[in-house]
Amino acid sequence: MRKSLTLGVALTLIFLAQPGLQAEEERLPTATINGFSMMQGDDPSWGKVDFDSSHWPTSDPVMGTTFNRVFIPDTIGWLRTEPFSLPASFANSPMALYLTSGASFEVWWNGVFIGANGQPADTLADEIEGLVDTRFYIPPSLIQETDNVLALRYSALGYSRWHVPLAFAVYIGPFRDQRYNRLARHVPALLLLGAVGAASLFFGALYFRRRVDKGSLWLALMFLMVTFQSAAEIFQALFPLSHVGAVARILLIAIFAYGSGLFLNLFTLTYLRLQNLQRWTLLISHALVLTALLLSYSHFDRLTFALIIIFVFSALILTALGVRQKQTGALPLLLVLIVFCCSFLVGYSAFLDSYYYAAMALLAGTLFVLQANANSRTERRSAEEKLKSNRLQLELLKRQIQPHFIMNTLTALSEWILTSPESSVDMINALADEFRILNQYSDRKLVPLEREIELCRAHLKIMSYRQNRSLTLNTSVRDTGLNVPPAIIHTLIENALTHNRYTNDKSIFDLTQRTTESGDLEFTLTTPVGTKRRDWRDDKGGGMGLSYVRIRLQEAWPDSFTLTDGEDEQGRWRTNILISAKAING
Amino acid sequence: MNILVVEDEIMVARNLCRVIREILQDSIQNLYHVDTLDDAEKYLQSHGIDLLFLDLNLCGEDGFELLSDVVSSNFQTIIVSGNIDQALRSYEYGVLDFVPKPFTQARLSQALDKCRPSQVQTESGRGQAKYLGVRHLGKTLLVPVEEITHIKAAERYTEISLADGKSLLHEKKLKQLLCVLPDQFQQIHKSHIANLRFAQDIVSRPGSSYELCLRDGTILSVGRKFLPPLRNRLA
Repeated sequence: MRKSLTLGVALTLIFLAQPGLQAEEERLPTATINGFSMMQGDDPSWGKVDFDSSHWPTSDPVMGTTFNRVFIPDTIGWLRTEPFSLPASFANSPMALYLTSGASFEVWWNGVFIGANGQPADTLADEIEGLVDTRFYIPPSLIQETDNVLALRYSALGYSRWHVPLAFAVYIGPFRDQRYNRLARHVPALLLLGAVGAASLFFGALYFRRRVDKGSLWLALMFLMVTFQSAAEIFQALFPLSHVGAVARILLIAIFAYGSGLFLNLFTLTYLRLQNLQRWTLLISHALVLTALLLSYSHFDRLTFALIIIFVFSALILTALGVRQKQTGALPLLLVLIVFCCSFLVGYSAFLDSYYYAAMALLAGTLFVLQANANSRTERRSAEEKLKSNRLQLELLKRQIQPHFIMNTLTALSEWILTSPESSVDMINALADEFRILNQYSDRKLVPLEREIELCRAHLKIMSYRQNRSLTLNTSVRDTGLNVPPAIIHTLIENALTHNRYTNDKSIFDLTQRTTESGDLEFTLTTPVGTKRRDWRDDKGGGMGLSYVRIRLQEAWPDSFTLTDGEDEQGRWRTNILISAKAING
Repeated sequence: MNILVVEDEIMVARNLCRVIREILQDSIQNLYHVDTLDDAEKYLQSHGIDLLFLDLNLCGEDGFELLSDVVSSNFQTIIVSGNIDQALRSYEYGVLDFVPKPFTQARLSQALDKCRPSQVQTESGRGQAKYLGVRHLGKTLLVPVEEITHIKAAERYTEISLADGKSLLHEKKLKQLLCVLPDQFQQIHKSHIANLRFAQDIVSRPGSSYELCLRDGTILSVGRKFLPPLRNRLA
């Protein structure tokens, strides 16, 4: 808990440092353009400074003012800005125009052609595709303090096949390597890429080594998705992309966001042991995903944003449930998810560009610590279970060689040897049978019921010789091939013999097995009527016997059995073991 | 000799009774077997015995509580058990012997020798008891033998004197007690046993009689026949 908080604080610091990176960028003088006038058609005069385009329709600024959504002309179209001013300092150093768009276009600055991206054309065949991120040097002689006009001659015939809106992002600033700006913006994504990628490998390896805790698998997959998403994000910064690449990239980002959200939910369900809610969680979240898809099909960034919101909120609700159930680690996770949700408030553009990575780093770090702890708990528990299982085996063997049993048997045997050698041979055989079966049993968690019955009969035979009375086991068992934990019936019979004296010449134990109407499996052991021994005889052993049976049942069918006992109407002691159908078939 | 066997394993009991008969033969007056402690209690209410064979599975404290009851009685007790882990503690509680199962005739014979009158010759304690079970006001007290200064014969009982000045009555006779007490207890008179840890001096009196002075000021007469071994022990 403390560790996860420390990590949380560290990641929050990164989170806060994030706007700092942007601030540095902002210190450099820049200018952005607020909107275009748009017109379909092609006329060389539309590039001139003094052309009046005030009657043209205007573009729709989206994502603040950086992106201006423009229409997609069927042929060639033109975009023109209103006359705009630039800071005086722009004349003193090399300046550039940065444009981001899926279109092919030519750039006219104050009526002078300064460059082209691809080749706009009237037909798809003639159009030459450009890059998405472009940079144009603005000759200093063309830079005026006021009344600058930017005109773009463009076509987007290739791009229009995507059926997604077209936008131009325009930014004027110092001439420098574009990748610098991009990389600076993607530092958080880069950081996350390495860390989350490594974590994904770690949990993946952990899961495939033991295949016990599904939580590790979901977390590995979630981290993998986040890694891919970050990689897709950074790809743009490192490599020039055509609009095909750019669209594919944001599509992939949306898909990875979906994947990471889905696995986040699956992890939360597994980690907080809320698997019973899995169906509903997935149903509701996918209904929302579908709605988001319908509402923002044409806008992948918004879709990505919506997907992240849906899944993070869904995880938040599950975690709140976990907190109510006082689950380990639910509270820190809830706090982190709340912080994550707060970052949605910055709006989708800022969120996807930068805050997402910081929020995800915080979340990923927390999940890492939680799952690492859960793994160590699982590991410890499995070691403890192994130990307990070994102890049970040992106890089973120890009970057979405990002095009270073995020494009394041997003393009785020596009397039989003197008085009836034949009986003594029979008794020795029964003793050998019992030991042989127990020896085969010792390292097994389940044994055939048939063997168990053999063991009980061997034991009763020995006891018959010891007490010189007939003790037998009647069985009414449908399915002798059924598997049961070793020596449980044997222990119950032994318990009965320890606590009771059977003074009749004949005493019959009765074992029945049946399947109830609901498919549950039921064993009933009925012991004959005897007189209770005074407790001094073997008080400790009796209690231990019953707890042995319980532990063995728990080991074989965790939390799926009931063990009850009591006297029946004829005064016989009856022990009833009921195992749920689900546990037997599963 | 009157003997009671408490053993719930029928075949074991048969074996035990047979071997006891073979060893003691005619010196047995009565050999009786019961299955349970309840039956044993009933039998003891109406019969006096010299020796009890008890199969005691001494698990937990209950077994030892029962044992301290048994050893406070006027008969000797031999434990026959498969659980030899408890042998030492049984001796400390003052049983005459602990015979592990399965037993041989030789081992049982050795145990029986300890309580045959003809065999009881020496004057020093021959047991390993660390406690003496004493019935007092309806309860059984476990008295550490270290606290016993001396023991006097008193008609059917013995009177046990403790270092703090108190005295208690025990059902066993002097000879029986010597069988279970450790060897620091020495018979010094036909009716006195002294704990030599408390002995201070032997004093001669006119008329060539001798007395043993204990550290707490008690003076006990020393029998003529018991004087030489006592002198040896104190030398």
